[in-house]
Amino acid sequence: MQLSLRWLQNYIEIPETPGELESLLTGTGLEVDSITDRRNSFDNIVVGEVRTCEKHPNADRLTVCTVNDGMAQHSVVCGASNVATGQKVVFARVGAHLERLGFTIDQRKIRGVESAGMICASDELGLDDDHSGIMVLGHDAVPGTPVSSYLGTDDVILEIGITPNRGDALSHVGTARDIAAVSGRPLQTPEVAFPSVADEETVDIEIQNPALCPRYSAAIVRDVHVQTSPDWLRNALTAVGIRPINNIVDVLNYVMMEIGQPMHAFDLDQLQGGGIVVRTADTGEIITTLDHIERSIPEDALLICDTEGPVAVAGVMGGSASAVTDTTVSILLESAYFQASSVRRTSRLLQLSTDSSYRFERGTDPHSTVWALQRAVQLILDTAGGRFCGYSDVCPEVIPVRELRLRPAFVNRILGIEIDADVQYRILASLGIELVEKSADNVLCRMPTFRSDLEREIDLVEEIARIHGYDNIPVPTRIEMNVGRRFDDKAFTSQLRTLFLGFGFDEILSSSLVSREHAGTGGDNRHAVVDVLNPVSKERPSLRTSLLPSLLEAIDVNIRSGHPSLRIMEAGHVFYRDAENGIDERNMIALAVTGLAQQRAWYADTRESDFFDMKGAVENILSALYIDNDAIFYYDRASTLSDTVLMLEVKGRYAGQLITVPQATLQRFDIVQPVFYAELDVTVLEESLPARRKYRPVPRHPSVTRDLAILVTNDIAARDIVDTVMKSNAAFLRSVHIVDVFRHSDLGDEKKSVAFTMTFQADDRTLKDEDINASVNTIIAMLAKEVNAELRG
Amino acid sequence: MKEKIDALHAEMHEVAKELTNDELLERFRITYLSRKGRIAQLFEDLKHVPAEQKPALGKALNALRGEAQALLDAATEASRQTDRTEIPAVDLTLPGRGYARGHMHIVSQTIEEISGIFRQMGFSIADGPEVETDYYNFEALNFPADHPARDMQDTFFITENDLLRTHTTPVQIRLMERYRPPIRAIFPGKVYRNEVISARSHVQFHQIDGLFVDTDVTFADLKGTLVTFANMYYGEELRYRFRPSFFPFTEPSAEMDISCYLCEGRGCRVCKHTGWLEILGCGMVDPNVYSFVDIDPEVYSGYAFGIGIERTAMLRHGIDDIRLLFENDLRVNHQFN
Repeated sequence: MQLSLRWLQNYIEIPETPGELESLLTGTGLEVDSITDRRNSFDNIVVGEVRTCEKHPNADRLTVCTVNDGMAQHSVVCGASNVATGQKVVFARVGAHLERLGFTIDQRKIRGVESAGMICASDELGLDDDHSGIMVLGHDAVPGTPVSSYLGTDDVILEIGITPNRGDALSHVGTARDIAAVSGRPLQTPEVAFPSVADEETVDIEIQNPALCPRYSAAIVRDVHVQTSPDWLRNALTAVGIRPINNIVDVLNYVMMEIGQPMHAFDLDQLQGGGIVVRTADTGEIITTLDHIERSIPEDALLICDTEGPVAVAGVMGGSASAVTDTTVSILLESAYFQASSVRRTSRLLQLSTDSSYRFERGTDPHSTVWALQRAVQLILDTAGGRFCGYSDVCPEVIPVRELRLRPAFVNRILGIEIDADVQYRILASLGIELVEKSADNVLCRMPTFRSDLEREIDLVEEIARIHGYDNIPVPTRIEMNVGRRFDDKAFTSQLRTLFLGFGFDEILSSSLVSREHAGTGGDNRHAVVDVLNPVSKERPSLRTSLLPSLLEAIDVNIRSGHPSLRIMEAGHVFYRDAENGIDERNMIALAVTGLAQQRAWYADTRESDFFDMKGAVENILSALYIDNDAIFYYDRASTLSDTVLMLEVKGRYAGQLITVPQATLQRFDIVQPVFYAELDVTVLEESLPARRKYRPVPRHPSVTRDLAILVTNDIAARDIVDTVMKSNAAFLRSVHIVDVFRHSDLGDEKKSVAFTMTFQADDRTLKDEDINASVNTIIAMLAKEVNAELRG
Repeated sequence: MKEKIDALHAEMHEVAKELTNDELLERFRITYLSRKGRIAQLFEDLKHVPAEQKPALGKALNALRGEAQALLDAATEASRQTDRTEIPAVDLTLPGRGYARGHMHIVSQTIEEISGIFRQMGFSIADGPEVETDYYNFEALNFPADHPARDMQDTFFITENDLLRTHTTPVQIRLMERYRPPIRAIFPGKVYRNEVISARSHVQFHQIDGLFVDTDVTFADLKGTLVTFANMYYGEELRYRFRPSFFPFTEPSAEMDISCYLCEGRGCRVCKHTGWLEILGCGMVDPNVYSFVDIDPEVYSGYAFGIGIERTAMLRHGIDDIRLLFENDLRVNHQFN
């Protein structure tokens, strides 16, 4: 909301500089987002009088004028077609700087004719976007008067961010109230009254739904002249960012910006039956609003109707049929109090937010309706002529005034300081809160009707705090910390991340929202994708079911930027619909490896990444977590992802998968190089963590290793061999590691040679050759039996 | 005979050039100088030459033996010299072997750093789901159904009732359901807003919310904790201010500003010429919130606060486009940590 300092000064003295005022307002909770000081913006630009006009000798479209600027006559070349002798105009003297145009006026020749100054259009001053011609001022304008004072633009404009609870501050008077409360200076609002009238007309008002419209006030003014508003009114509105329309609409906007009461004017002659009915909409009703858009009215929206049908959507926008036009002579002014949530609901359903709905939905003052009518009638009579013919004020039920009890001790308990009860009471009174009855430990207060946000004792605590000043609440030197139950839900994810960083993986963070096409990528297609109903971007409406699309996007980005060798990881949530149509959200961590595993270096040959660069990282993680012995990698033949998918199970639960990303998937991300990807279920891993580890004595006797090489058929997996060796239960066997896999035509096409090394150890003695030979024989026999292995020479 | 001596002489000189290690030196000695060596053999052959040739040939052989010894001594000496002054076969100025080092994302770094500060002040760390219900995201946080406060946060809906959380604040409700006071925790995480993606806004970002509920927790305590945080994170020298604001779930509500560290409060583009940077929102937990989790506001009081991570990181590192944070161009990510 924009406020004008000059306008504010109508209601309260403001000796503060703009900077001081900013601190004061921001300190009370009316945050000043920006200050625009226009007081010096029109230096050297004054009212001028056009004395003579002649056609330019060398240009058809130019005019050579003589302009009196109050001090001298100047010859000026003007390009506007509407310039004429006798006009009062805005004259920029030589030396004036036009900020909007970005240049300073100098004396120069235009097509051979001397020009010493410039006659300005309003857009050239930055007042609006009108460039239809030069700005013509009223005849009362005195040549030489600085334009800023003539236009009232020697002003400071404050842009204030009003929080949703402070509907009361959405006007100049509303904001002045806070200034008054903090400064202690008095607030002066204009005296208003209806003119006396002999045969008072009344308005027939029927409120069918008083819950949504507790009060409706209306006045009739006849014989008005609808025309452009006087400069003071236009300037006042322009200063606060409201476009002037005509004198009737402008007055209503002025009163709204003054006191915060939104109003509406109907052309009385266009209201069928002459009366007003306030009711909720039936199904299928339609209205064409002021903006000439035909709108279907949501059911139960509150409507203002004449005998024929709706003429306005209550609190949101009037209808075009009954709008005030240049030919309107009789008007009916509406000043009502509508229920906030009803206006908000209607505004939201119509997707139509106006200055009016904005204020109603934040709560207006039920007791300002008549004041606003009186003020508006006064100003209309001043600016549009006409005569006041009477008013009606319908308020079916007494609008309750809210009373609250405040305990000063409670205020101090919440704020952590001691503010004397008397000081607290003084603050309340300064805000217009009436102290009805003081008791020993509390006070009964009556809320002003413009503060619909003050509903509870705690709200008064905030009022006292903000007027006392948040910065006046001392910062304690001790931090009280009764820590209660301690937990760290993020520690495990941090631990995993740290491990991956240590393996050289770069962490990335991507959008959880992905394209519909990519959403299923990497996810198990037995699960359905979760979409958002109202995506802002049609391109990314879906929640990822896997981190794979995110990592592939990142790989694509980096390949494009010339960095094709990557080790990246991301920790994040994935989402899918589970069987019961609920949403399953899983905490995952994923890694991808692509490009060179070994970069060019003097000490090594380059090497492309492969599946085992990725698998090694996973194995290392499992080992770092001490769950490597609980982990099983197995083929999932049912997987639709890839024929090179390896599943990971930890303690019997699915814990992740390791895949060579299929070509078809890579193509969708424009990637042509192999990518190896793994994802791990963070929750499953965390729940599998072993209990506290106990020390095991270090063996005192040396271990012995033996190597074996066997021939097996190609379908025997390394895992089968290791399992078989371990399953043999050979005495003293501690571990087995595959050290070589070798295929050669000499071995035949169906066979491979697998070499492994075994470690043997006894707790109580040093092993002898015959001990180990016996074990090795057991193992060889087991391998022969289980995997049909032949021993290689 | 004479030819043999000359040939051996030439050969000896040739071999002596290659005497670079002890083994070769020893082999040289055995080959030429030992009792059964080639020179000894020639002395043996001398017995069979005519007597008139003997003196000259004997002299030549003696010379050859002396020369062999000299060659061996010289080579031995050279070899010993080499051991001390040889330029190594490996050039130590070559770069060391690479060790891969991963970079933590700047958002994670910021979360970790801020979490660390609050951990020091006795806060636990809590987590919560990103798909939330209207109840946790709005209703229990005192956002009335038809209230403009809901406009503060453009929401992605999944169903009428399920949505992507717009803030991490719902975790405070889940915590108060799970535990009785005292509760002292922060909850970092990802949040979503239905906004057009631009340099200044994104459909997702991260927050850290915090909550402390106990008997006698005051607004002054809130200030104490947050000022301590600001001093630890932004530095001891900063100026700060708390100003009234509005959040449905706190009353009184406040925002905390610190003096702009880019212009030291003089006013610049980043602080919009106000000299102040907004760093967090906070306030005392609203009694309406307690009513949803069955905590008695006459017995307990508490404070809550929320910090925007991306904004914090961007200001701190001078990043002017939030999209850079989620595009994962590693040329950006590698600039941090």
